[in-house]
Amino acid sequence: MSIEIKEIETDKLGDALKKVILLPQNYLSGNDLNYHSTTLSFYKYSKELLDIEYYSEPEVLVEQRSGEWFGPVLLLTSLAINENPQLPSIICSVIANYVTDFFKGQKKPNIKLKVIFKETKSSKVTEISYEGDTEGLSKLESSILEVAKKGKDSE
Amino acid sequence: MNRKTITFHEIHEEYCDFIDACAKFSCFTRSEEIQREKVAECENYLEVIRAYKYQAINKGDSDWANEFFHMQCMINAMHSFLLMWINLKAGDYSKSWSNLVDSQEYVSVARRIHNYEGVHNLEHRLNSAETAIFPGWSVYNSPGFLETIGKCSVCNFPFYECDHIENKIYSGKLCQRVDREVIKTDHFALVKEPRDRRCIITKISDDNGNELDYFTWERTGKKTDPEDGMHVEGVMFSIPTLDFS
Repeated sequence: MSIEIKEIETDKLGDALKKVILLPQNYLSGNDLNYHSTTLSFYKYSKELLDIEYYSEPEVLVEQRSGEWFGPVLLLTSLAINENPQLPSIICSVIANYVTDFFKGQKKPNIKLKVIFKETKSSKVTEISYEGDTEGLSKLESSILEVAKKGKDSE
Repeated sequence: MNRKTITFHEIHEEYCDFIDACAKFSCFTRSEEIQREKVAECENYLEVIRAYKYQAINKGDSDWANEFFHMQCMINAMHSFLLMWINLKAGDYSKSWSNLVDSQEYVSVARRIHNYEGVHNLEHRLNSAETAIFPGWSVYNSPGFLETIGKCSVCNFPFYECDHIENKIYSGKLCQRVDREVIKTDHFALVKEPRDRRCIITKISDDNGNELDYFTWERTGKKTDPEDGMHVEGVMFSIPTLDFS
């Protein structure tokens, strides 16, 4: 399991939102946007459980034929977490349940996904990259909360 | 007009007998002629089971539709397993390997509905056949590409518009994105855990540049320059054609 956290420079993420946003995998490029092929089914699965929407209407998908599960890129804002501090926990359990359901009858895959955290006031953006199994997702939850807390402390 | 009715219990008993009869011929030493007969019987019996499934779908009974879909997957698994032996005997190892992977994938979908000893036994036999017969691959091919979203295999609507979720079973059908078009190939990678284990290495070169068939380890007669590094040939992409609808 590995988690990589880095600050990124971007002005392409729009205004502060209370919703969870599904970003294109090349969200930094600004044009020819394309989504991981897992994004649509994940959206359908999670929309009953989360306040979630697409950044833009998906038209082109990136299909990776390796055994890993390339999850969607999720954008979270400090505003959304302030409104609902349980959000990182809910997101991680939705991901874990989705992967378990999706791969029922098969070997559980390695998960690769990114969570983008945007500090509403400062517009600081942090990218959290996760790679590991479903059990390690609790560490992703801790990392999101840690990044959110740092942002809050520096306000 | 007299209409014969049949209970699910009777259908299930007939199905179990059929699977057992096929399993008896799913090994190397059995007659190829009888194995071919069993393959034909599987194809005919699949029509019967699909007909029952569509009756259940038309009645709006998704539980029964899923029961018949489970049978459909298990018969298809047996069909592919028999073909694996037939193609192995014919020396068509590449096809035989694909048949094995087909059978394993049918079993993994059947397991999504029911998981019992019979399913475990078949899975165990397939895995044993894999390790005993085939050479094993440390890496497989894994392409990455840009593609259109396609349609939903369950409702036939654009996949973006419907609520069906990939890999879930709805009333006897596995949801998949179909009619997808590749827009651009992005990369090919060698990976240990591929999505599709049909994407194998079929030829490699030795230290002297002789091309070897990966299944037989025989020289193909083709020579490559060892200075250029190891030469590798393989299946880059396969279009899934399994019967999940």
